[in-house]
Amino acid sequence: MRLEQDDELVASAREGDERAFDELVSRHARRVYALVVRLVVDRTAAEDVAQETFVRAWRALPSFRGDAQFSTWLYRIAVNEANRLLAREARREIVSYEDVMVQVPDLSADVPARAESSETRRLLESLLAELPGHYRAAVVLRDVEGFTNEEAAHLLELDLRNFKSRLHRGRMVFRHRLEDLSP
Amino acid sequence: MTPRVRIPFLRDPRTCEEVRSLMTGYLDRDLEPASLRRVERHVRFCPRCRRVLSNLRTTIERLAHIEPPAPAGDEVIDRIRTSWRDRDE
Repeated sequence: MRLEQDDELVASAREGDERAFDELVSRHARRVYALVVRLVVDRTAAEDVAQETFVRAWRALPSFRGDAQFSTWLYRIAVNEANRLLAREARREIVSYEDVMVQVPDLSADVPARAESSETRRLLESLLAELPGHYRAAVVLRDVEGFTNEEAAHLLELDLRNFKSRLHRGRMVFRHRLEDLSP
Repeated sequence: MTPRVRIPFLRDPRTCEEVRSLMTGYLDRDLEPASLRRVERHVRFCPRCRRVLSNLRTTIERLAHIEPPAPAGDEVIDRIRTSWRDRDE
Protein backbone atom coordinates (compact mmCIF):
# COMPACT_ATOMS: atom_id res chain seq x y z
CA MET A 1 0.00 0.00 0.00
CA ARG A 2 1.41 3.40 -0.96
CA LEU A 3 2.10 5.74 1.91
CA GLU A 4 0.42 9.06 1.26
CA GLN A 5 2.59 12.15 1.45
CA ASP A 6 1.81 14.86 3.99
CA ASP A 7 0.62 17.26 1.30
CA GLU A 8 -1.82 14.66 -0.06
CA LEU A 9 -3.19 14.08 3.43
CA VAL A 10 -3.41 17.82 4.01
CA ALA A 11 -5.35 18.24 0.76
CA SER A 12 -7.80 15.53 1.83
CA ALA A 13 -8.08 16.94 5.35
CA ARG A 14 -8.85 20.38 3.93
CA GLU A 15 -11.83 18.73 2.21
CA GLY A 16 -12.99 17.56 5.63
CA ASP A 17 -11.45 14.07 5.57
CA GLU A 18 -10.95 13.36 9.27
CA ARG A 19 -9.17 10.08 8.59
CA ALA A 20 -6.48 11.97 6.69
CA PHE A 21 -5.99 14.43 9.53
CA ASP A 22 -5.93 11.61 12.04
CA GLU A 23 -3.01 10.15 10.08
CA LEU A 24 -1.25 13.53 10.22
CA VAL A 25 -1.76 13.63 13.98
CA SER A 26 -0.23 10.16 14.27
CA ARG A 27 2.76 11.16 12.17
CA HIS A 28 3.56 14.44 13.90
CA ALA A 29 2.38 14.06 17.50
CA ARG A 30 5.67 12.74 18.86
CA ARG A 31 7.76 15.45 17.25
CA VAL A 32 5.36 18.18 18.33
CA TYR A 33 5.33 16.84 21.87
CA ALA A 34 9.14 16.59 21.98
CA LEU A 35 9.48 20.20 20.85
CA VAL A 36 6.86 21.49 23.25
CA VAL A 37 8.25 19.67 26.26
CA ARG A 38 11.54 21.48 25.66
CA LEU A 39 9.75 24.80 25.70
CA VAL A 40 7.38 24.39 28.62
CA VAL A 41 9.42 21.77 30.55
CA ASP A 42 6.48 20.28 32.45
CA ARG A 43 5.35 17.09 30.70
CA THR A 44 1.69 17.40 31.66
CA ALA A 45 1.60 20.98 30.40
CA ALA A 46 3.38 19.84 27.23
CA GLU A 47 0.68 17.24 26.63
CA ASP A 48 -2.03 19.89 27.00
CA VAL A 49 -0.19 22.16 24.57
CA ALA A 50 0.26 19.33 22.06
CA GLN A 51 -3.44 18.48 22.28
CA GLU A 52 -4.44 22.09 21.75
CA THR A 53 -2.00 22.37 18.84
CA PHE A 54 -3.78 19.70 16.81
CA VAL A 55 -7.24 21.01 17.62
CA ARG A 56 -6.17 24.47 16.49
CA ALA A 57 -4.42 23.07 13.44
CA TRP A 58 -7.59 21.27 12.34
CA ARG A 59 -9.63 24.46 12.71
CA ALA A 60 -7.01 26.56 10.93
CA LEU A 61 -6.46 24.09 8.12
CA PRO A 62 -8.55 26.08 5.59
CA SER A 63 -6.08 28.95 6.04
CA PHE A 64 -3.03 26.72 5.39
CA ARG A 65 -1.88 27.79 1.95
CA GLY A 66 0.82 25.21 1.49
CA ASP A 67 3.64 27.70 0.94
CA ALA A 68 5.46 26.18 3.92
CA GLN A 69 5.77 22.54 4.86
CA PHE A 70 2.87 21.26 6.91
CA SER A 71 5.29 20.35 9.72
CA THR A 72 6.68 23.91 9.85
CA TRP A 73 3.18 25.33 9.96
CA LEU A 74 2.28 22.90 12.72
CA TYR A 75 5.40 23.74 14.76
CA ARG A 76 4.51 27.39 14.53
CA ILE A 77 1.11 26.69 16.05
CA ALA A 78 2.77 24.54 18.73
CA VAL A 79 5.35 27.20 19.60
CA ASN A 80 2.60 29.80 19.69
CA GLU A 81 0.55 27.66 22.07
CA ALA A 82 3.60 27.03 24.25
CA ASN A 83 4.30 30.76 24.35
CA ARG A 84 0.72 31.50 25.38
CA LEU A 85 1.14 29.13 28.28
CA LEU A 86 4.52 30.59 29.21
CA ALA A 87 3.19 34.13 28.93
CA ARG A 88 0.58 33.34 31.55
CA GLU A 89 3.32 32.20 33.89
CA ALA A 90 5.99 34.62 32.79
CA ARG A 91 7.63 37.22 34.78
CA ARG A 92 9.45 38.94 31.99
CA GLU A 93 12.30 39.66 34.33
CA ILE A 94 15.52 41.15 33.09
CA VAL A 95 18.15 38.58 33.92
CA SER A 96 21.51 39.99 34.65
CA TYR A 97 24.33 37.98 33.14
CA GLU A 98 27.22 40.31 33.00
CA ASP A 99 29.64 42.24 35.02
CA VAL A 100 32.35 42.88 32.52
CA MET A 101 34.97 43.44 35.20
CA VAL A 102 34.64 40.14 37.08
CA GLN A 103 36.95 37.19 36.60
CA VAL A 104 35.59 34.52 34.29
CA PRO A 105 36.32 30.81 34.84
CA ASP A 106 37.34 28.69 31.88
CA LEU A 107 34.56 26.32 30.82
CA SER A 108 36.71 24.56 28.27
CA ALA A 109 38.84 23.24 31.13
CA ASP A 110 35.86 21.14 32.24
CA VAL A 111 35.02 17.75 30.82
CA PRO A 112 34.51 17.99 27.04
CA ALA A 113 30.88 18.06 25.93
CA ARG A 114 30.90 14.67 24.24
CA ALA A 115 32.22 12.88 27.27
CA GLU A 116 29.85 14.36 29.77
CA SER A 117 28.60 12.21 32.58
CA SER A 118 24.91 11.60 33.04
CA GLU A 119 25.10 13.86 36.08
CA THR A 120 26.46 16.72 33.95
CA ARG A 121 23.81 16.10 31.33
CA ARG A 122 21.11 16.34 33.98
CA LEU A 123 22.68 19.56 35.18
CA LEU A 124 22.58 21.03 31.68
CA GLU A 125 18.95 19.95 31.35
CA SER A 126 18.01 21.65 34.58
CA LEU A 127 19.90 24.83 33.69
CA LEU A 128 18.01 24.93 30.43
CA ALA A 129 14.72 24.36 32.22
CA GLU A 130 15.48 27.24 34.58
CA LEU A 131 16.08 29.77 31.82
CA PRO A 132 13.26 32.30 31.55
CA GLY A 133 10.77 31.00 28.97
CA HIS A 134 11.38 33.67 26.33
CA TYR A 135 15.12 32.99 26.35
CA ARG A 136 14.65 29.24 26.55
CA ALA A 137 12.47 29.22 23.45
CA ALA A 138 15.13 30.99 21.39
CA VAL A 139 17.98 28.82 22.68
CA VAL A 140 16.04 25.57 22.31
CA LEU A 141 14.94 26.24 18.75
CA ARG A 142 18.33 27.47 17.54
CA ASP A 143 20.93 25.56 19.55
CA VAL A 144 19.20 22.42 20.75
CA GLU A 145 16.79 21.72 17.88
CA GLY A 146 19.06 23.13 15.20
CA PHE A 147 16.66 25.46 13.38
CA THR A 148 18.25 28.35 11.49
CA ASN A 149 17.85 31.89 12.80
CA GLU A 150 15.26 32.57 10.12
CA GLU A 151 13.26 29.42 10.87
CA ALA A 152 13.34 29.99 14.62
CA ALA A 153 12.33 33.63 14.24
CA HIS A 154 9.44 32.54 12.03
CA LEU A 155 8.32 29.94 14.58
CA LEU A 156 8.43 32.51 17.37
CA GLU A 157 6.76 35.18 15.22
CA LEU A 158 9.63 37.55 15.87
CA ASP A 159 11.49 39.66 13.39
CA LEU A 160 15.02 38.43 12.80
CA ARG A 161 16.69 41.23 14.72
CA ASN A 162 14.58 40.65 17.83
CA PHE A 163 15.13 36.93 17.60
CA LYS A 164 18.92 37.31 17.42
CA SER A 165 18.88 39.65 20.38
CA ARG A 166 16.84 37.19 22.43
CA LEU A 167 19.06 34.30 21.37
CA HIS A 168 22.16 36.20 22.40
CA ARG A 169 20.78 37.06 25.82
CA GLY A 170 19.60 33.49 26.34
CA ARG A 171 23.00 32.08 25.43
CA MET A 172 24.77 34.57 27.66
CA VAL A 173 22.53 33.81 30.64
CA PHE A 174 23.09 30.08 30.12
CA ARG A 175 26.85 30.63 29.83
CA HIS A 176 26.90 32.74 32.97
CA ARG A 177 25.03 30.09 34.95
CA LEU A 178 27.42 27.42 33.69
CA GLU A 179 30.33 29.57 34.82
CA ASP A 180 28.76 29.96 38.26
CA LEU A 181 28.80 26.19 38.59
CA SER A 182 32.33 25.83 37.35
CA PRO A 183 34.85 24.88 40.04
CA MET B 1 67.44 58.94 32.90
CA THR B 2 64.24 58.21 34.80
CA PRO B 3 62.98 54.71 34.30
CA ARG B 4 59.78 54.45 32.32
CA VAL B 5 56.79 53.78 34.52
CA ARG B 6 54.52 51.21 33.08
CA ILE B 7 50.93 52.41 33.25
CA PRO B 8 48.42 49.59 33.39
CA PHE B 9 46.21 49.53 30.34
CA LEU B 10 42.73 50.42 31.47
CA ARG B 11 39.94 49.01 29.44
CA ASP B 12 36.70 50.86 29.12
CA PRO B 13 33.99 48.48 30.39
CA ARG B 14 31.59 49.96 27.84
CA THR B 15 33.81 48.64 25.07
CA CYS B 16 33.71 45.18 26.65
CA GLU B 17 29.92 45.35 26.83
CA GLU B 18 29.64 46.41 23.21
CA VAL B 19 31.97 43.67 22.06
CA ARG B 20 30.16 41.03 24.11
CA SER B 21 26.88 42.07 22.53
CA LEU B 22 28.42 41.09 19.18
CA MET B 23 29.63 37.67 20.27
CA THR B 24 26.63 35.60 19.18
CA GLY B 25 26.86 37.23 15.76
CA TYR B 26 30.59 36.58 15.74
CA LEU B 27 30.24 32.88 16.51
CA ASP B 28 27.39 32.49 14.01
CA ARG B 29 29.52 34.28 11.38
CA ASP B 30 26.72 36.76 11.09
CA LEU B 31 28.55 40.07 11.43
CA GLU B 32 29.71 42.76 9.08
CA PRO B 33 33.47 42.46 8.43
CA ALA B 34 34.18 45.62 10.44
CA SER B 35 32.34 44.26 13.50
CA LEU B 36 34.03 40.90 13.06
CA ARG B 37 37.44 42.56 13.13
CA ARG B 38 36.40 44.65 16.12
CA VAL B 39 35.63 41.52 18.14
CA GLU B 40 38.87 39.87 17.09
CA ARG B 41 40.94 42.93 17.87
CA HIS B 42 39.34 43.40 21.26
CA VAL B 43 39.61 39.82 22.49
CA ARG B 44 43.27 39.76 21.50
CA PHE B 45 43.98 42.28 24.24
CA CYS B 46 41.16 41.66 26.72
CA PRO B 47 41.58 38.35 28.54
CA ARG B 48 38.15 38.54 30.19
CA CYS B 49 36.31 38.98 26.94
CA ARG B 50 38.51 36.32 25.34
CA ARG B 51 37.39 33.94 28.07
CA VAL B 52 33.74 34.95 27.68
CA LEU B 53 33.94 34.29 23.94
CA SER B 54 35.55 30.92 24.51
CA ASN B 55 32.95 30.02 27.14
CA LEU B 56 30.12 31.12 24.88
CA ARG B 57 31.48 28.83 22.17
CA THR B 58 31.65 25.97 24.68
CA THR B 59 28.11 26.74 25.85
CA ILE B 60 26.72 26.52 22.33
CA GLU B 61 28.55 23.23 21.76
CA ARG B 62 27.08 21.84 24.96
CA LEU B 63 23.58 22.94 24.06
CA ALA B 64 23.90 21.09 20.76
CA HIS B 65 24.66 17.90 22.65
CA ILE B 66 21.81 18.00 25.12
CA GLU B 67 19.93 14.77 24.71
CA PRO B 68 16.32 14.76 23.55
CA PRO B 69 13.70 14.48 26.27
CA ALA B 70 12.21 11.07 26.96
CA PRO B 71 9.83 10.44 24.06
CA ALA B 72 6.11 10.57 24.49
CA GLY B 73 4.70 7.19 25.43
CA ASP B 74 1.96 5.57 23.37
CA GLU B 75 -0.60 6.59 25.98
CA VAL B 76 0.37 10.26 25.50
CA ILE B 77 -0.02 9.97 21.75
CA ASP B 78 -3.38 8.23 22.23
CA ARG B 79 -4.58 11.07 24.44
CA ILE B 80 -3.47 13.66 21.87
CA ARG B 81 -5.41 11.80 19.16
CA THR B 82 -8.45 11.34 21.39
CA SER B 83 -8.42 14.99 22.33
CA TRP B 84 -8.57 15.96 18.66
CA ARG B 85 -11.29 13.43 17.87
CA ASP B 86 -13.40 14.59 20.84
CA ARG B 87 -12.94 18.30 20.14
CA ASP B 88 -15.89 20.69 20.39
CA GLU B 89 -16.75 22.02 16.96
